[in-house]
Amino acid sequence: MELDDLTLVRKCQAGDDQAFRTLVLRYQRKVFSVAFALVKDREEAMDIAQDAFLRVHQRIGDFKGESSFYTWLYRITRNLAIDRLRSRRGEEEELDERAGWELQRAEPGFLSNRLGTTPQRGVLRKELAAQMARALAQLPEKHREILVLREVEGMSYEELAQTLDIPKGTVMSRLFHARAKMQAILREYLGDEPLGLVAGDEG
Amino acid sequence: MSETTRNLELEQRLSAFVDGELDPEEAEEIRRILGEDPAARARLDDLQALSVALQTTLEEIGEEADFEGFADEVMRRVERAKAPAAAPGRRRFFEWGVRRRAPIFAAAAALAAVATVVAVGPGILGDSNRERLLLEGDPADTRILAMTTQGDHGATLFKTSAGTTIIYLTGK
Repeated sequence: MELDDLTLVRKCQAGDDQAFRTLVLRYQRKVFSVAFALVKDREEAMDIAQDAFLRVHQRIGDFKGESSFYTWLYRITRNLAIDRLRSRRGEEEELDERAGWELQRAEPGFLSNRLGTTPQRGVLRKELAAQMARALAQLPEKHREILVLREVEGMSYEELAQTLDIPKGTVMSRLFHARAKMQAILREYLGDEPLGLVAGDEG
Repeated sequence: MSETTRNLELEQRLSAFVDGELDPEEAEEIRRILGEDPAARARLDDLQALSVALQTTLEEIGEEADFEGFADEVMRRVERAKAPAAAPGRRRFFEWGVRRRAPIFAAAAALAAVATVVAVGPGILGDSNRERLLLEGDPADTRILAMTTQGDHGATLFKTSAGTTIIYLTGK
């Protein structure tokens, strides 16, 4: 039977490294995805993921179970990623809040027309996937972060508020702005070409 | 309230509706609006399409990454971190240096140039002053912060209990 996170953490705290390894295997991809979404560099994201797990092991004795293990792990990962970003600040230009609104808003239906009205997961065309990744990389950190946590991790607004340490109302508006900006950037990238999800041919 | 503000407010509620985060009364109100307003319906379709496309893209990024040996490397680092702290600075450097050899050398070389000119003065490298400078403060508390070699040169960064940071540049 698969042990839950808290049981594994308690075993780690008692010195069971095999339990820690299980946690690493369970969360390595998620930690990488979160780090990648923030730093936008695969090698760097992999380094951050390594460092995050090492730090978790070093501090496992401090974990009291007041939040979920993943929330704790996520915060450590995020802090490491932000440290890296700060160290290279100025190298890259991102869209800030104001600049995002200078982009032309996509007209209603633009995206669903490009992607199809019944998009299926896992059949995203390669070129669109590349444009999506490129658009995501253009978002400010806080917007990229909240989209990843919502869309990949499936966090509720309550969990997002707790993880990001912001009010629930801010979660709602930040997600809205992140999505609107993403759509506006995609509008610039996609133009009128019929790109999108291939429906129906891959089950 | 202007039309633009109203539209933005509606879009924000649509975003929360897609996430299933509206209370039942608000959700019912949105369903009513969707039944009457084709533009709102189109916005909802956009949000749903974006959500699926984002999930697919982000999951593919994670799935494409190669995690073979990842957990083993984490466990190796955990073991090294548990080892007796004989030379913590050296150990930290080796963990880092394996992955970042060139940048540390460049950084150490740049710092060395500054330290040589500003703090130590020309002639420090290769003469006996090194010993004296290194032993400022408590000799037992002299720590190696980083060491690296590249080509014919090595760079070592020390810190003493007196807070002095000294960098050696040496030829092989």
